[in-house]
Amino acid sequence: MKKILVVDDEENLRLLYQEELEEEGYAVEVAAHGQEALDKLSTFKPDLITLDIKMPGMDGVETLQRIRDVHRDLPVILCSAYGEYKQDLTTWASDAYVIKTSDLTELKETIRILLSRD
Amino acid sequence: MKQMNSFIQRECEILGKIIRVSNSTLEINTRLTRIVGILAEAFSTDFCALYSFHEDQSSFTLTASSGRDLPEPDSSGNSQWGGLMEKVAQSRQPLFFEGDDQPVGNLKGMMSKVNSPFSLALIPIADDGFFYGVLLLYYAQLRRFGDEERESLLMAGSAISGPFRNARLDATRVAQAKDRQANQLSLLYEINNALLSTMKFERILHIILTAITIGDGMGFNRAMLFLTDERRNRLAGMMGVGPDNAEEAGNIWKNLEGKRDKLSEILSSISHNYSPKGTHLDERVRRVNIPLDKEECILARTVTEQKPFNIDYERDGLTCPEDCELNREVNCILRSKSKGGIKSYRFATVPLWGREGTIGVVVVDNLYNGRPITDDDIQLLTMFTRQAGLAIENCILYRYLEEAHWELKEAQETLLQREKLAALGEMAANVAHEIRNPLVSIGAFTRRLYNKLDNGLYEKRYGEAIIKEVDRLEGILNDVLSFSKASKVVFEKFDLNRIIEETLMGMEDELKSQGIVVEKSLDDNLPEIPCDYQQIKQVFINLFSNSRDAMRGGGRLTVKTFPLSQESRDYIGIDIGDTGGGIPSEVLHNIFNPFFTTKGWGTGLGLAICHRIVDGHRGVIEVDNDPDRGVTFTVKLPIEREA
Repeated sequence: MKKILVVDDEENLRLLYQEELEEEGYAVEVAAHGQEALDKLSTFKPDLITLDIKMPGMDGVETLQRIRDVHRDLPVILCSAYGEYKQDLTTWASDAYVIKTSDLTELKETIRILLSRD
Repeated sequence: MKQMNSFIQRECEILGKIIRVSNSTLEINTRLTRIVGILAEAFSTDFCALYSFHEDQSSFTLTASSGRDLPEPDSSGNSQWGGLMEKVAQSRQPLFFEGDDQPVGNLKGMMSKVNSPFSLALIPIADDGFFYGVLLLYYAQLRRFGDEERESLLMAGSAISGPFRNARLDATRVAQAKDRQANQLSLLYEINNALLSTMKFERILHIILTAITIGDGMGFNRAMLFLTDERRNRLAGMMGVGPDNAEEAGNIWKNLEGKRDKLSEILSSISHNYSPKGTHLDERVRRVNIPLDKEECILARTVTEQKPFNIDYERDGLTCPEDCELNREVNCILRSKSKGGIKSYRFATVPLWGREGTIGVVVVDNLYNGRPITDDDIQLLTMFTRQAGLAIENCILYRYLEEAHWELKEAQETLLQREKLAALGEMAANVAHEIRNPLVSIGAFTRRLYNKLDNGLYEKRYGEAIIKEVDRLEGILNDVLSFSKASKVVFEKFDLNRIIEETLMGMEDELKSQGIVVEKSLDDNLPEIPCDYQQIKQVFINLFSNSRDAMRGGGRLTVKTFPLSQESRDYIGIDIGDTGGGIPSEVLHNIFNPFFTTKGWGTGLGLAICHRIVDGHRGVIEVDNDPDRGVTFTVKLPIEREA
């Protein structure tokens, strides 16, 4: 079973993603901010990470850099309400950029594609 | 006989000397002094003098003298001597007093004053027209004046009138010249006042040309004004003032001159009475447009050589060439209807001066009265054109200033508008972002609930409603966000045709299912243009979607790309047309406004977004509406990015 780490500062969204992804058959852990995410990297050892951009403290982009420092090949999806980062050079380090909507089909599809690559 | 001969010889000698001095170029007083010296010696006088007569004061002044002073010093007319001289002046006859004659009139008085005997000869200096003065010879003794002597003296008197006459003529000429100068200056002053009274271009030209043609002004028959167009290196006709025929000439001048108003007042009120617009001459002048490098053209030469020309065909055989194409085309005013053909036509050109060189030409002629144009005329015109040129330049500069000011104001307003919109856009974006997250929760959790409900349950209807509204809200958010994002453009070179093809491919199924036929004619040779891929794609998506929405029951979607040039810039044009029945003309002017829509759904932001994006690319979007058939949108995008 593939493991996914969901990082988002909003409780409701953490709940939502966990429920939705577990239904898809993944093992899911959540983190509320960047530091927690980094901690869970070594303990949970996820196969994929979804990362919110706007977070207090360390934001998504910085967290991404830190993750990359340790795991160069770990698939990371940047997940945001903000569309304009899509063309930002700083986000190139991620494997995908998905805009949050109430319909999670695109997100799920992206996860499926990224995980099937290995 | 011998006596006679020697006398005549002596006569000739004396006269010869006098005449030689008279005709010399010495200053007049010097001449007169020398002449008096000659006479004093020749006639051995005790006192010899010349007195000049002043007509206006009826008095005499001593001009030259030789010998001791008169017993009674007399250098003004207020004494006995003066009285004698007046008598000579009136009678134009000489007066001889030989000491023992019967004293007549004033002489009686003088004899009592002067205690010793004396003799006197007073000779008039005059010619046919004028009395110039008196030659006086005084002897402090008795002396006889012989007949030959008297003859001699009379001839001397005559010879002396020469220098006086010349001096008088000189004085007259100088006075006349001074008079003319004063008149000219006064004229220029009057005209200048009039020129200062207005900043309107046409009025200034009108005043200038009227001042040149009006009788109280410089009195030329016709005047025309041309200004240089530096950019195109041409001379363009601006205005012509002058009657169309001799009869009209007579009438106009009679009218204007009847009023003895001050010239400046006439000129200042000019445009209300007598407008040149519409007269033959004015029309013809305005049509003239000459290249400045046209060598044989006298008008052009006046500007390039910066000097006036005074052309008199009779005198110098110089005129405009017969085969000048302007002549054929516009029936060049320079050669029109001259009395007796070319031979008697005279005209002059004077350059118009601005601050840094010539700005045009003024052409004058005397077509109707054939009066020759003198150097004096040219000189006056030249003085005038300096003023005139400056006035015109000022006027033009003023106009530029006004225009620049207006443009600045407009730009300021546009900027203000843009800033307002930008601020609004930013606020909207912020709000949209804040709303997105909660919306995700609401929508997604509702879906989960919806999926958990049994299919037959009525409450599923509620779930549907919530999900649909959330979708709608997300749609609005997307539109609002792309609208505000449209101002941030990232330029890279792309092939427009490819973007179009990609977009169409993405909508292929949709369009087919609605029965819409797509007709493409994309020009193969278009260059890649700098644009923002995402944004331009959005424009096409929006336009294609609109067309699709308009053709619910099927139709034809035409897409065309082509190169085009507008106002010396190159663009790529994209035509997107549909057969969806067109836009009702009363709402046509609103379609690009945000939140305007004729559909029952949607945000009404689609076309507003297109407009914003195209604007950000410095392009244009236009609509061609056929109210019963369909609409064609044309997008024009520049090939070059503006510096």
